[in-house]
Amino acid sequence: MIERPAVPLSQRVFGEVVYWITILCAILCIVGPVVAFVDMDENVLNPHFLMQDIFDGMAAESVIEIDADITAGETVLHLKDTGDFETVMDNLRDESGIALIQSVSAGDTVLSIERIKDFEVAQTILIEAKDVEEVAIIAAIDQSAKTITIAAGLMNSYAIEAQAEVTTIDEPVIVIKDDHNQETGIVRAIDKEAGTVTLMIGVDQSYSKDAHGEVGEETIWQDAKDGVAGGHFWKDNFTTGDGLTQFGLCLGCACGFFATIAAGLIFLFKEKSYGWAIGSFWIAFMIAVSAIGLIALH
Amino acid sequence: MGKFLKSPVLEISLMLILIIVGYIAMGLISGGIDTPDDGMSAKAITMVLIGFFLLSFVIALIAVIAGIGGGVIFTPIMLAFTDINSLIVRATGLIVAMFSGLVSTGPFMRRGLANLKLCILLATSYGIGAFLGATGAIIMADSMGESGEAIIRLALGGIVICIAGYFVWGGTKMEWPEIKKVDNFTKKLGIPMPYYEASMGKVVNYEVTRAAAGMGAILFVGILSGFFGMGGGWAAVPAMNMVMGVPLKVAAACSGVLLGMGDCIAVWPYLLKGAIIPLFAAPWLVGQVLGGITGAHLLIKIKAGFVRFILIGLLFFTSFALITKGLFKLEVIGEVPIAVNGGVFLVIIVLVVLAIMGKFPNPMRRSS
Repeated sequence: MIERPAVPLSQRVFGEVVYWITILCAILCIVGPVVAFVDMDENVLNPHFLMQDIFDGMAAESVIEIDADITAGETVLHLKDTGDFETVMDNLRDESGIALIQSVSAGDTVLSIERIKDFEVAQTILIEAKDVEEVAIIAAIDQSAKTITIAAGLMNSYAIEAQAEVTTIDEPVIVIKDDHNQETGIVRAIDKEAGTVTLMIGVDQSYSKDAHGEVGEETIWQDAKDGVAGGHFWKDNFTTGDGLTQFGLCLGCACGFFATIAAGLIFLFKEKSYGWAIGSFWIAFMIAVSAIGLIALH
Repeated sequence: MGKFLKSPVLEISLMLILIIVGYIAMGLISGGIDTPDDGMSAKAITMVLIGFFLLSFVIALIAVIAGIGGGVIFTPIMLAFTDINSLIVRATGLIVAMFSGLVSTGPFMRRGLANLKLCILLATSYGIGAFLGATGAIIMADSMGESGEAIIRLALGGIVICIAGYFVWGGTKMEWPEIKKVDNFTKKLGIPMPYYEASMGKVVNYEVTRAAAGMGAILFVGILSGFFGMGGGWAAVPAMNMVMGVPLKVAAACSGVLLGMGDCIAVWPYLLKGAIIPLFAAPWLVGQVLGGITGAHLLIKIKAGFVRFILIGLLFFTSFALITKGLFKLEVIGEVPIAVNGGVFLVIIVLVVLAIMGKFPNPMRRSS
């Protein structure tokens, strides 16, 4: 009978701590979603909309810093870059476009189009041609004349030679916020070269660069209860289904911390391996720094 | 009765009972819930959660048998075949990769197959790399929008092809590397730890060398893992084996522990940014834990070559889908017709079947 070498205590303790915390957090992640189903509206993120938003490709995080302060009533927002918004209209498109049959100029409100039956009053539409596009709201429709009247005059001109067309889209909602205020706005146009986003209606409040003014696409967390933005939201929502699940996830993500602390203490006091104790505590320190967001991106 | 109260039967049974009761309860509850406008019905959500759990369970089984992390399969599949935001996919991929490593940590540590000192040494550089990678992913998502999404898919497509190639040709990893000289730095660390090798019925004493170079290689593995949220077991094993001379089995065991430990650092930037959505990530996590334990204890006798061929086919098809989706998002090509996707899938299936039957050219057969 071959005698098996003894496994060091530090190693055994490390393994057991990791294993049982992993099992515990798996159990929490089984129970959490069931609790979430008991009262869907009680969750931080309502599962009905959450799952739909996830499968629609909605972002979890979308932020672009503003390049100039915004004062109340302003419609043009200057951003550091419009990269995030470049395809925002494409993603909101319901169906393919219908061609304009007459060119229109900036300031015009009446659009003549090939087919009118798919449009309704108060719908949001995207008018586009080569290199230029804008959003408008339908104010009136004349079925016999095949014309749409939009709520405000066009910002740009659209020529039928440049394949100008009209498409129905969902409202392009964006969120404007800083450390003090937050509101949503509807995009009217994006100018990539100027780095600006023009809104349908002026903003209600003022936003400053100094207070970390940001603009972003609507995210999954926009509809979250109590305005949380992910992260450690479980602390204030522990009894909700998704709060409990998030706690389970956080516990699992932190199990390396508890295990390395336990192993480090054994290295230090029992096995007298000071170098390895420092190594263990260093890893625990890195996990802790990462977990509390000391190294965070703004 | 006694054996049902012992680990791992106890925890597996408990989790299985909870899962069955939980999903039945969700099914019953969902029958009486009204669906709001623009929302998904409770029944559909239940089906999605069960589907995710089953898929994760299967991925964990394949991953355990093929000796890789679950994230390598999860992340490319989700990016290639769904429209789910890439940051959410990569964050959940990191959870999958991490828990597939964590669940194997206990048994490997208990048996002495994994080496805690080696893991601590490499985790210091893996953690830094993984954190840098995760931070880079968030910066890219914040600043590059849709183009960033396309570039991530293209880059990942390229990496997945390389992984598939690695599995085809098997690399040059060796089961018992011969170490002629141990450098002073590594010698001072005192890493080696004898363990009982059940398949040989003897105690194995092994040496380790080039610790500094190993840490450098693992730093790079960490960056890849953190950026793409797909784990790095496929790279960590050869890095330990070829650079440091760690025996293959020990390297494989340490890689699971290392990924679990390192991803505990990498995952937090995603979590704090709100990219880990609890109800979405939970079934994936549970599937990894249950599949990982079950795979390690019950399916150890399945012929690994069979699974490896399926994995290679899966990786090639996924990389095709990733690259075409990336090019489509960059508006280089139009949307790939279903017929073309189906044709490519069929060709790959035929090649996999030929490989399993041993009728494929040399490279795949030789390394099976």
